[in-house]
Amino acid sequence: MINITLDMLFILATFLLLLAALYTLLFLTKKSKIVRGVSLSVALLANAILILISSSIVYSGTALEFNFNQIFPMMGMDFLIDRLAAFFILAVSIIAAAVTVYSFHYLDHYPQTRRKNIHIFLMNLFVLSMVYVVASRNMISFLIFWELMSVSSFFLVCFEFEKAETRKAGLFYFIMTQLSTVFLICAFVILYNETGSFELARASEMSSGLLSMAFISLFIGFGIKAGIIPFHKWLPYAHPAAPSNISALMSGLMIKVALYGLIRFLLYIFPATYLWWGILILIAGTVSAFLGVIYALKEHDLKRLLAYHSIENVGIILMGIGMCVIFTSYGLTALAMISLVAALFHTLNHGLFKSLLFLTAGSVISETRTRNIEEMGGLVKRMPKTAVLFFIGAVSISALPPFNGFVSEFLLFHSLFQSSLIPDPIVQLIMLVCLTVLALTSALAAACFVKAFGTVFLAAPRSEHAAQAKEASWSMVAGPSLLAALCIGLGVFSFQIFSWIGPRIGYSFPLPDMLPAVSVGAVLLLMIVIGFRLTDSRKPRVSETWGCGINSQNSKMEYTASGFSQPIINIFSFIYQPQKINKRYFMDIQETVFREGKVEIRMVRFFEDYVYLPIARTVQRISRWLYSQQNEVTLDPFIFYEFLAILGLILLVGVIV
Amino acid sequence: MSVEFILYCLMNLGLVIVLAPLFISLIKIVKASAQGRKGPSVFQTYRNLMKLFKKEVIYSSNSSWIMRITPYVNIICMLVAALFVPLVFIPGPQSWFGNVILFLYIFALARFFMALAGLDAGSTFGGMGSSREMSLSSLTEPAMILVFAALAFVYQATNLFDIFITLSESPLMAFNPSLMLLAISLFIILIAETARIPLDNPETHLELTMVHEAMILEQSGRNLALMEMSAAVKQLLLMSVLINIFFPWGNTTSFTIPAIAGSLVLFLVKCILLALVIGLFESSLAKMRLFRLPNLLIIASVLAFLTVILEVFLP
Amino acid sequence: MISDSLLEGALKALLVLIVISALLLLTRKNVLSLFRSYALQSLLLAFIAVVLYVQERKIELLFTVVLTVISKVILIPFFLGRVQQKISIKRDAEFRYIKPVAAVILSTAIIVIIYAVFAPLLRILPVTEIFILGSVIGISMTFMGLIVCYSRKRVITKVIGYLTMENGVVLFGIFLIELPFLIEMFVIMDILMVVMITAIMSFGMNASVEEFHVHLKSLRQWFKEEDASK
Repeated sequence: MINITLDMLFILATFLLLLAALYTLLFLTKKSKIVRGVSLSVALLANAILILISSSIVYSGTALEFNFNQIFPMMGMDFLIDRLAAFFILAVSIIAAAVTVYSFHYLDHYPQTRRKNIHIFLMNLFVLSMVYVVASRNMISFLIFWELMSVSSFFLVCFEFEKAETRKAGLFYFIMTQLSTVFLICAFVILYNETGSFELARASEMSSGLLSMAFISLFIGFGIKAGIIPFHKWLPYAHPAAPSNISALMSGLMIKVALYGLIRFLLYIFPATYLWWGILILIAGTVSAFLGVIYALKEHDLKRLLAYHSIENVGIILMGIGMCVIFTSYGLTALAMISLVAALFHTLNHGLFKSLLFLTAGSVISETRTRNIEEMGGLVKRMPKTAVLFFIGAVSISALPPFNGFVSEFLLFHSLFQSSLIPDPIVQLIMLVCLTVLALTSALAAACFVKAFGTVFLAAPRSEHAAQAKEASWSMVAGPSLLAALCIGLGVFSFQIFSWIGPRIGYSFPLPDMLPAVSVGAVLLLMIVIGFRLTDSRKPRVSETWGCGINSQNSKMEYTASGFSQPIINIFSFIYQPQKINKRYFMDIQETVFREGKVEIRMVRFFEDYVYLPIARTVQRISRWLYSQQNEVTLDPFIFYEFLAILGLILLVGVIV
Repeated sequence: MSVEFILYCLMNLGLVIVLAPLFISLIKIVKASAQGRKGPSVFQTYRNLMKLFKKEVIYSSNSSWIMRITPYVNIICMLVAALFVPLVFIPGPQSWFGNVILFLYIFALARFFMALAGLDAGSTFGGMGSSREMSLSSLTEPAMILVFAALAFVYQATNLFDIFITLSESPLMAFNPSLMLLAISLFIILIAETARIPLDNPETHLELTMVHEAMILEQSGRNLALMEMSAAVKQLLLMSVLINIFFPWGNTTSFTIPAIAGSLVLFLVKCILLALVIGLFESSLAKMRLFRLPNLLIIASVLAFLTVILEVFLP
Repeated sequence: MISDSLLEGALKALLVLIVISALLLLTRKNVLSLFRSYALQSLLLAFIAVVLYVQERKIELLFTVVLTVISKVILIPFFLGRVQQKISIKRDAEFRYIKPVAAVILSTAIIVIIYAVFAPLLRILPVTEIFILGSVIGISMTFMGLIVCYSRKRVITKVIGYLTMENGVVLFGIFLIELPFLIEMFVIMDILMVVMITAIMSFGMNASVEEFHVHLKSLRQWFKEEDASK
């Protein structure tokens, strides 16, 4: 009798994922689809094992410990999977499984064989690195896998590197992600300096100033990766450039790994948390949520729209984390737990529905060959299954009952409603403002997805390609279907799931039971439908309805996406700051004969124009000045500077010690 | 689920279905007499609905399953929401119904479908209506959440059943002066959500004024009847939330026939008075320009926020 | 004897109504309804003073009531009404710097900020929470009056802004510090003078401050002659 333990299974899963990755490298130039098929099937198996392991840890709560110190000595390869880590691994493996199924056929329309095989290799490596970042127990291994995650995702984003747009997006992403690592290293150094160990365990007491510094640099580091405003700019560039399965992984999982890091450090590593951290996180989250959806509303690029919604949802998750810190600092542990669970559950939910949306968007984009939603339309008849799947994702992300997005936002609303328990009136009012903004955000998200679903799938097709679109192949329906089923299941049965899991972690959750409402609704529906059938057996007629006086409607008469969002842009014009630029050119100097005119409506790109570009310009100016200081372009002066710098450093160390 | 609760469900559903169209015509009568006209009969809305139920359904050839399921989703949402608001009889505290956030988001679900159905047929009017509806509702929803957050501050409850029970035990709590502000903002929300002047005009089919009507322009026959019915139910529900929170006298918690009959009569009187107020309010104002409407909704939110400020500062 | 809690409730209701009246002053465009809101606000102020008199039995409060009712509820609105009839301005719909809705949001924020700043200071005094809130609303009202002053273009509405500020000061005064009655009387005389001067200045004038200058310029030639004679 072989006693199979969880760590053996985990190592098996790791091995299988590595195998799946390396297998494609072995047959790099092989043109057959079977290579990728085999690799993806092995990866699917590995993900299934991971789902099994992590769900059992989430349920039982017994942590899993193992290390690779014999293979990689002195590298700090210690791993610990507790409930929090297991929860994130569960999210990673479920979504990775769905994306793996989707990828069976997604790459078919790209011609380059070798590149597709490398893509599968990197994808498996990417998933593996995310699992190991979450499992890490040591800052060194955390950083190693963090970098592996960043680098593999960078190459994945650059899949179509012949396009200049993709190269630009990839470079931008790479710079931002390295910046994030710099901040993480800063924080790790501070922590190491104080505690003397790289282990990710509860740190001993340290001075509040240093602790706050560590927190700030961690917040910025993880914030860049998670796409918190104002560090969000890479998201709307990288997502449209990347293939859709990678967008699904990055948006659904990678930014969540950053949030995992934040939660891990805040709750498990730092010896104390302060009220102002909580308020900072809450406000940053609220701003991200609101601005994310505001920017999404004006977007007509389907994937960029979804990317902005990722910013919004990261903001919502952050609000939960911030509330957790605030409640903890007032000693309200039960409410802190509810807000933390709201954040965690929204993390899972957002992973599910955002991957679902990105995957179905990928199917649509590969059929219509454009990302511009103004050129789609009418796809509900041509791609019915994809339409239903996208619809489920849209309802979930708009936080509408009885789907999963509603449940996590409900928990957040509930904990914000409880602000009356906090003694400080100013904090109460801050929370109420956040509550209002959250409600505004979810209402705007609903508006945005009415726009997205309406223009992409409904009415008549707006372009040639859209009119000829076909349903996606089976795997591109099956993968998202898994996610859609989970979106519905986690929503409708949320009360049951939480009353099952609640006692295991020692808290009860004030969720409304969705099942009776849904079943009452179903019974009523049945009654109405049967009533109609009995009283009136006529079949509804499909015909031309009134078309504003014109007999046959065409797609030119439909309401466009820009028309749809125009009232909202008008209402929030103080954020968009739309500028109308009207230029006229004349043939002659007296300006009598009109040659051509140009009218442009431009929204202010606040963060790009006022944050990113000034920083970039300053750096450029400094480097230009440094360059001008060196009149000779030879190697020697550089070696000389290096010599001086090292000497200075040694002297500095001598002075300090 | 006790027998009493099931009886409550049946009674509430029955009342909502029977009474909802009544107040649509009642407000019309009030408006007509304010304009010096005679106005329709009280039963006109019932007759309209019966007529529509008998008519044939026609779908546009562009439309999809969204158009076909929307009327059903709408009426189901409204009927489920009807279980959340005890009209005359309040059963004991419930865990599965009555949550205010779920209540609001059930409305949001219905609206989501309605807006998509507006886009479905591909006609310009429908799209215009959905666009306007979603923009305005994005401001109504925060106002509603704030109103309920303020109520949560005052009554320490997020469940309508709990709030109503607290009120029926100590009806003097409704005299809380800061609730006046809340009543005003809930009234504005009621006007906004039921598509009335100055936000929308339920009686015209003009491009300039249409919001709600534009979205359901493509519906016909019994589907249209379902849409109109759900609009009527929504109006009655919001009216009874307003009445039962700010004028809670007469609601009964005991399940006896005289008590229920008494509170039903009181409820009807209060509803008729509110309908009178709504009708007069509508007649006294002109339709606002579309981009002036956000101001009104923002003022509703600010009033709710002021309530919270008062509650926070004067514990 | 009237119970304390009832008095407290009445004070709370009056404060709510005063805030509403201040918001009306910020948003209304009809000049007549502005005057009416101002009169209402002053009346509410008088009511507050009455309630406080019932609570504290200080005779000065009754004088304040009488003075407020005579001057601010009857005299000033009547006066302003006469001016308005003469210059026949019906609406003041022009705003600068800040739109009415933004002003409403801003004044809500002001109430919160002032509470956050002043409440800890005021807690030193032996007063209950409602007194603190009342004085906070009083200070906020002076700010709201300032907003009215700088956001409206017509002189006649600017005057309403000054009057609101004065009401705020009175509110603060009756809630927290007992202003010597004499000073209060002088203040009221002052604002009566302000209103009268405005009435005289705005003869036939139907527009904004800029047009004051036009009128003043016509006076300038006399001064010029004086200059020349020097």
